[in-house]
Amino acid sequence: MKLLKQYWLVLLILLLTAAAVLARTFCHSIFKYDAGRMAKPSALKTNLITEEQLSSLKGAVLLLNLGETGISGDKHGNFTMKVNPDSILVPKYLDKIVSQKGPVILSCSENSVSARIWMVLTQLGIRNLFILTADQDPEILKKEFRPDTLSMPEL
Amino acid sequence: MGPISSSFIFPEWLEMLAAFLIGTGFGFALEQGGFSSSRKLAGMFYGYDTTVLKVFFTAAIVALIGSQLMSYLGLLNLNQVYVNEFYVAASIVGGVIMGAGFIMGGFCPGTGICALSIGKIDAMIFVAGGLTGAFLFAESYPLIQDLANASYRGPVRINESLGLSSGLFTLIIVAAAALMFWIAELAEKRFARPDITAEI
Amino acid sequence: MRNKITILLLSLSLILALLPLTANRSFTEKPGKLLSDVLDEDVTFSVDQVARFIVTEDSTIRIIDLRKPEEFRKLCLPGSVNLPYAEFIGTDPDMYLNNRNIKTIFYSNSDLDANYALVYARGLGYELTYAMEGGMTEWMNTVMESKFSGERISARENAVFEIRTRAGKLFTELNSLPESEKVRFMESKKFSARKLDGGCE
Repeated sequence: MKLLKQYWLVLLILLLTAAAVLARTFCHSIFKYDAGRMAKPSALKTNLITEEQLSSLKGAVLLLNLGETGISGDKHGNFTMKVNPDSILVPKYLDKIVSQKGPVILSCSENSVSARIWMVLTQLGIRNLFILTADQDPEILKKEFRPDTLSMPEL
Repeated sequence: MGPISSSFIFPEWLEMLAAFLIGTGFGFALEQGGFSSSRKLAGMFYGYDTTVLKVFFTAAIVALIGSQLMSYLGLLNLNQVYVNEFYVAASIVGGVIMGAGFIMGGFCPGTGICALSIGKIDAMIFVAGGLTGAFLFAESYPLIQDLANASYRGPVRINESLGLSSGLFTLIIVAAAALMFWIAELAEKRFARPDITAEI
Repeated sequence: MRNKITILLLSLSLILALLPLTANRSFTEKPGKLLSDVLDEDVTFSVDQVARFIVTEDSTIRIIDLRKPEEFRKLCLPGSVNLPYAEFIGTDPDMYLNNRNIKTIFYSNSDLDANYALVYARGLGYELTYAMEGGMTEWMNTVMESKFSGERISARENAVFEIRTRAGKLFTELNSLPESEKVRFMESKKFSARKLDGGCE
């Protein structure tokens, strides 16, 4: 008791620091991770998944349909959640995504929206997040360019 | 205010005022700790007074812990904090010259200016010597630039080169400091000079 | 007093040792604000808008090609600079985005990399960053294959067609050069642009 009285200020500072650190550690609504490290799967293209590869995923899958609203599930523990992109951070949806133990798949008609949502959610620390795409690598240029060797630019 | 989180945007005059107040506080603390006395500073090397070690190392540890915690809590962007570029040869040679100057003059650059501000003549000569040395360095740079630029390692952090996390490295430093302070106090007893310490 | 300070500092450093600390660069924007910013319509430019910037040599715009160097050497937008996406996220973006008065437009082959880079840059506080809709694929489909058919054309359609034609011509001229010549041409273009900016000297 005497020791407590002597060191009350030290204990107070330690408790406040520990509380702030714990709050920050377990908070999923702030950016705190190294941005480059979290974005790496997008550079390696390991965050992309096709329909055929969906079935090979382990664990219950949460499919996020961006652009509609509602939640439904099946007997295998897979969930489909429809959510507007601008509501993705609403606690009702974010908590479901955070608590998901298996893969989370982003599905949208526009890859641009999926890409932006992927980056925001990944930077919040959500791992196991994939974008559903039609091709394995949509970043391959399929168009051919035919050079015109007769044209000369002005120098 | 440099690396303080971009959530806080300070007008320039406030940043200048903060810099002025921090500088004033630093000078005040140095003078208050008796660092304008060359005998106190020289005592670090002769062993009879290790206040310099304790004060500067404690300040470094508080800054280390504070900056790490603030970085974790999102209040400080450590990537915007300048990390010195490390040139091995220049650091060794410069360290030897500075150490010799420190013990001969009884001042380092910061404490020299602190002593200068209270009108000490030896500090005036010391600071003049320091400025002369800086001038000579600049003028003779073409002759010594190979040495100055040798063995460049980049802006390295010690914990990164040792493969430790910055938190673990901080703990090791704090523990090492506690041990060093204890050894320093043993040294003060061993090399006591009551004739000098009574006056400073 | 000494013991209290020692215990306090040792305890705080023990807390730090247990934390996963790295010298990191995390997003500075708040999540809610970032999300609403990047879902806004104004964060992208269409290929027609980019074509106009290219044709008018707009010096307030910088176009960054996020594709691999070999793809860039083979085919690129006039005036663009190459910064592979993996390199962009692996280094300090301030090296490339340090001029906060210039609008930076990212493009890749389609939408993914450009939009990742858009969110990444905005998250780190670089506000004047944008993505080109559809990427090089959309450029090839829209600008390069632009054709006019029909008897009448409105003034607006005519303006769009003209820009596409001129941008397409510049694109063809540049990308028809052998690689070594292309590099020299892009360097000379940069140099002449600076001369124009210099004014009377």
